[in-house]
Parts: sequence; C-alpha cells; structure tokens
Amino acid sequence: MRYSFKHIIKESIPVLIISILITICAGIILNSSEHLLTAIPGIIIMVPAFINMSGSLMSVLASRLSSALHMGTIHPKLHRTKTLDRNIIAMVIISLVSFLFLGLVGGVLMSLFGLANANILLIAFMIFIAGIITSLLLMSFTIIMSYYLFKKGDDPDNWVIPILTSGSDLIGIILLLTFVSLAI
Amino acid sequence: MSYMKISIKRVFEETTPFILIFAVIVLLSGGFLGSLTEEFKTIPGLLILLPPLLGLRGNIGASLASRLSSALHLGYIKPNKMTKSLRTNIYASIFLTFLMSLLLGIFSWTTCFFIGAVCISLFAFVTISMIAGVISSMFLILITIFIAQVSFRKGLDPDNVTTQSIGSLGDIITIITFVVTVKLVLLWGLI
Repeated sequence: MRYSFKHIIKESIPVLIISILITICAGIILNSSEHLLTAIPGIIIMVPAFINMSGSLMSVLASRLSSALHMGTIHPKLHRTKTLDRNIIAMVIISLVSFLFLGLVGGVLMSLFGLANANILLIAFMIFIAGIITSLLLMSFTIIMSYYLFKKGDDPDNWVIPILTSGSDLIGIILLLTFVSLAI
Repeated sequence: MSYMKISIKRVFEETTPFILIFAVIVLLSGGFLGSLTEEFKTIPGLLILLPPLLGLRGNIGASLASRLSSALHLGYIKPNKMTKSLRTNIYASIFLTFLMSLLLGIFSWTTCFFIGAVCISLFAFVTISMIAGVISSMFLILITIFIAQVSFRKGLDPDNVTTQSIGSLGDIITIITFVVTVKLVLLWGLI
C-alpha cells in the first residue's frame, strides 16, 4: 500500500551508488596489496570476517541510535547523556571481546590451513589492535552522522547504515592491511 | 522495550553471541575464498570486485529488511502472506540488484582503467559482477524475508539482531557465489 516501486528505487539509487564508489576504493587498495597477500597467504581469510565484524558492530550502534533519536530518548543535540554513554560503553566492550575473539580464532584457522608463515600470536594481536582502532573511528563517525542527519530531518536509517558499512569496509581494509604488514 | 533504561548487559548479551557465531562462519567462508589464491594472482583486478560485491548485497538486503520490519509492524505485510507491499519490495530489490551489479562492474573497470591498474576486460568484469551479484541477491532476498518474519514473530530486537544477521549471511552467500562464479567463468574460458 504505502510502498511504491518508483519510490523505493529513487530513494535507494543515490546511496547505493555512493556505497559502491566507496567500496571500489577498498577493492583497489586490497588489489594493490598483492605483496602482502603473497607474504601472508592466510590474510585473505581474515578480510571478509574483519570488515564484516566492524560493519556489524557499527550497524548495531547506528540502528540503536536512530531508534533512540526517533523515540526521543536521545536529544539531537550532541552532548553526553546517560543513554549515549551506555551505548558507547556497550559498544567498546563488545568490540574488545569480538576482536580479541576474531584475532585468536583467525590465528588458529590460519595455522590450521597452513597459511601462516609469520608469528601467529603477533598477527592475532595486530588484528585485535586494528579492530579496536577501526571501531573507535567508526563509532565517532556513526554518532556524529546520526545526530547530524536527524537534526537535518533525514531518517538516519536510510543513510547511516549503508554509508557506514561501506566506510567500514574501506577503513577496515586499510587498517587491517597496515597493522598486519607490521607483523612481517 | 525501554530505551529509557538501556542496560549495557542486555545489549552485550543480545549482540555478542550473534557477532561471534557469525565471525566463525564468515572466517570459514573466508577459507573458501582462500581457495582462489592462485586466481587472484593470475587474474589481475579480480580482488577489486570483492569489497563492492560484499557491500552491495548487504545494503540491498539491510534496507529491504528494515522496510519489511516497519511494514510488518504497521500491518502492511502479514507473516506468511504475499501482499502487494511485499511484492513491490521484492520487485524493487530485484531491479536494484540487476542495475547495481551492472554499474558495479562498469565502475570497477573504469576506476581500474583510470588508475592504470592491470586488469581483465570490461566484459569479464561485468559478467562476474552480474552473475555473482544477481545469484547471491536472489538467495539473500529470500533469506531476508524469512528472517524479518521470524524476528517479528519472536519479538527479537531488530536493532540488535536482524540487521547484523542479514549483513553476515549476505557476506557468506556472496563469498560462496563469488568463488563459484569465478571458477565457472574460468571454466567457460571467458577470461
């Protein structure tokens, strides 16, 4: 009833094109780091899981923030409130646990597949650090963008998550490759 | 659900298990991707397609999911019934998938061309992107409809569970389809 085909298409195209352009940059960077992928063949296994994890974490935050903004439990004026604080603390804790887990499981898998010829513990640690930095960067970005869009009168649901997940692909790939290259 | 008293413990307990379980599954599908290591070396430019393909289906799936869950709440869509709203949403998602997979192939190749990276032909790029994009989206659209309905019925918090689950399932499906597509295209001798 409420949904028109044309409306959905018209609303989706701009944001999808922006997200394709951002992720193509991520692709170019991934494609140009062949030396690293050859040096640590197992790192390609980590790429999808790593960018998926940072994207998932932040889409949880983004959808929580936009619900809270819509429901009025957070005011669209950027200052510290209890709700915002708790969302941030929850995200920091979840990020720490998740990336620690990803580093360890990823390290174990890489050695199981016999793909790691560098120090596994060091690689696991680098994945963890890269994950935390990615999370912190994206978290600030998510908060600022949600507040800004809401104040402007746009629905953050339509914009924040798509741009955020593509942004997290780009930032995630850059940081993951940078930190892992320190391990060899 | 009260946002007045958001509990850190609750967010943690609802969110973390899904993130960790999906992390393991996506890691395993990453292992599948590892089987293309040789192809990544021999087919220049192939890796460029991976992040946009992963991103594309997530975005189409996630926005479909968020429209569906709003429509379920508003009563425009009833669980297990094909209503006009649901059909419109499905058609729109399919159309977007075709259009965006085509654009993705063209844009990736153009970028490659302009930065002077070595890469395969425009035709091969568009073929891989269209086949992988369309097949993975078909699966994802079906799964999204299913998850949106299940989480609506079970009262799962869409903020904590639904969006990220669809993102992760989308990654898994996309990786598998991408690997299979590349192998097929090589088999057919298109590259």
